[in-house]
Amino acid sequence: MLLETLEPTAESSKPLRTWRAQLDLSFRESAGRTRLNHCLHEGPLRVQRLFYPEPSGKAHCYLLHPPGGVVLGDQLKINIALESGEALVTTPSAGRFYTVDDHPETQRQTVNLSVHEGRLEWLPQETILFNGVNAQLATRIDLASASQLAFWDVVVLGRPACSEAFSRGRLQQTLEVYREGEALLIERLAFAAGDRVSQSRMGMQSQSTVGIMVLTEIPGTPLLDQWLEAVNLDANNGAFTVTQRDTLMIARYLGEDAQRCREGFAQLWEAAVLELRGSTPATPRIWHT
Amino acid sequence: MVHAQLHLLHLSSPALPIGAYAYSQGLEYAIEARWLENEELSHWLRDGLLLGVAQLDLPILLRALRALATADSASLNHWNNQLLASRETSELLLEDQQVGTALLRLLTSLETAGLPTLKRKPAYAVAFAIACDRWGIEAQAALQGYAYSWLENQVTAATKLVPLGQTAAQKMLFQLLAQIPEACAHAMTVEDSQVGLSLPGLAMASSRHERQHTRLFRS
Repeated sequence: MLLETLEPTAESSKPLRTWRAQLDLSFRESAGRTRLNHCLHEGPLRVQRLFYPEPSGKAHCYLLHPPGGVVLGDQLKINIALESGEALVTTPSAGRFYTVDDHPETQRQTVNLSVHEGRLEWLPQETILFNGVNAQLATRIDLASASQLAFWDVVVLGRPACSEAFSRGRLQQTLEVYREGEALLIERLAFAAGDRVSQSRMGMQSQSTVGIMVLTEIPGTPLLDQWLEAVNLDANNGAFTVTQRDTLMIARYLGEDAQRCREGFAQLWEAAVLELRGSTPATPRIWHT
Repeated sequence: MVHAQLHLLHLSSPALPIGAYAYSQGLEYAIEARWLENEELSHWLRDGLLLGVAQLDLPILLRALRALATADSASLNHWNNQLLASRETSELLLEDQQVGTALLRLLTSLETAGLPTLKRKPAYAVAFAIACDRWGIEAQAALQGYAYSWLENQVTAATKLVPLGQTAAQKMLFQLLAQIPEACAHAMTVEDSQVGLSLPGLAMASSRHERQHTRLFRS
C-alpha cells in the first residue's frame, strides 16, 4: 500500500491522504478462453475473478477500486494489454472524483489500453466529478494492425441527481487512439466551471453529462440510423449523435442523464456486435444490479 | 519579386479555387436547429475562432511553419497527422483533407519544384503553411491570414443560411475581426501537449449535418 500523509499546505489546513494505485493486466487466449496471464496491483485497485458468460471464451473482467473515489493527489493508473482473444472490462459502480476546491494539485486517472490481437472492450460505468474537482482523465489506446476496439467513456459534472451543480472545478480529459503508432483520434476536453467551453453552444452547452463511444468496426448506416431514431425519441432529454469517420465510428452524447447515456451506448454496442458476429453479446451482470 | 503581403492577400482570398466555400462546419445544422438566434450567431463564430481555430488549427500552422523552416519532415508529418486525428466528424475530416489537397495542388501548378511531400493527405492548415513558407509570409501574418479566411468563410456561409443582409454580414465580420489578434496570441501560448480540442456542441452539430436530408453545404 502506498498510503502517504502529506504535510498540511497553505491552501488546505487538513492533512492529505494520498493513494497512488496501479493495476497492470494482460490477457491472452489459451485453450479456448481469454485468460489473465499477468496481473499486478499496487495500492487499492483490484480485479475480480473473470466471468465467461459466452461460449466464445470471451472474458468479462470487473475492476474494483475499494476506496470508491479519488481525492486530492490521488493517481490511479490502469494498464491493460490484450495479447490475443477477446475481453470486456467494466466497473461495478461509477468512479468518483471528490471535491478538492482550490488546491493546485490534481486528481489523475490514466488508462492505457493496448491491443495486439483480438478485440478489447473497455466499457466502464460513468465517472462522476463532484463539484470543485481538479480532475485529469487521460486515456491512450494503442492498436496493432488487425486488432479491434469497443470503447466508451462517460463523464458527469456535479451530481445532478442531488441537484449539486458543477459550479467550481476543472477537468482535463484526453482520449488518444493510435493504430500502429499513427494517431487516429485525438480529443482534448479542457474546461473550468463557468468558462466559455463549459457554456458555449459549441462546447458543453452547460450540460452535465458528456459521453463518447468508439468502435473500430463500423456498423452499417441502416443500423446507425435505427439506433439514432430509437435513442433520440426525447430530444429534450439529452442527445446522441454518430459519425462514421474514416476507420472509426464515433458516437457522442451530450445531455443531463448518465444512465441514459450508458444505456444508449450499450444498445449501440449490442446491435453492432450482433451485426458483426451474428449473436447478441452477453451484458455484464453487474450492469443490471 | 512580389511582396509577401500580396502573396498573403492571394492566399487568403475567398476566390482561391480550393472549395472552402462549400463547407459550413456545423453552422448549417446549428442554424436550422435554431441554436443561433440573435447574438448567438456571433457567439458561435467567436467561439469557433477562440476555442476552435486558436486551439488547434493555428498552433499546428505555427508548428508546420517551424518544421518547414528547419526542413523537418518528420515533424511536418506528425503535426499533419495530429490535425487530421483531431477532426471530430467525418465531414470535418473530409473538408480539411479536400481543401488542403486542393490548395497543395494549386501550389504545385504555381510553383514547379521542391514542395514537401506528406505521408497522408495534407490538412488545410499544413498546406497553408507550405504556401506561406514558399512565399516568405511570416508566422504572425500567416496566423492572421488563416484566421481571417476561416472567419470570412463562416460569415459568408451564415449570409446564405440565416440569411443575413450584406450590410449585417459585413458588420458582423467587422466586429469579429477584433478577436483575430486574440486568437493568434492564444495560439502562440499553446504548448505541444495542449494542442487539440474537444467541442461537443460542434461535434454534435456536424454529426447531425452529415445526416440532414437537404443541405446547402457539403458533407
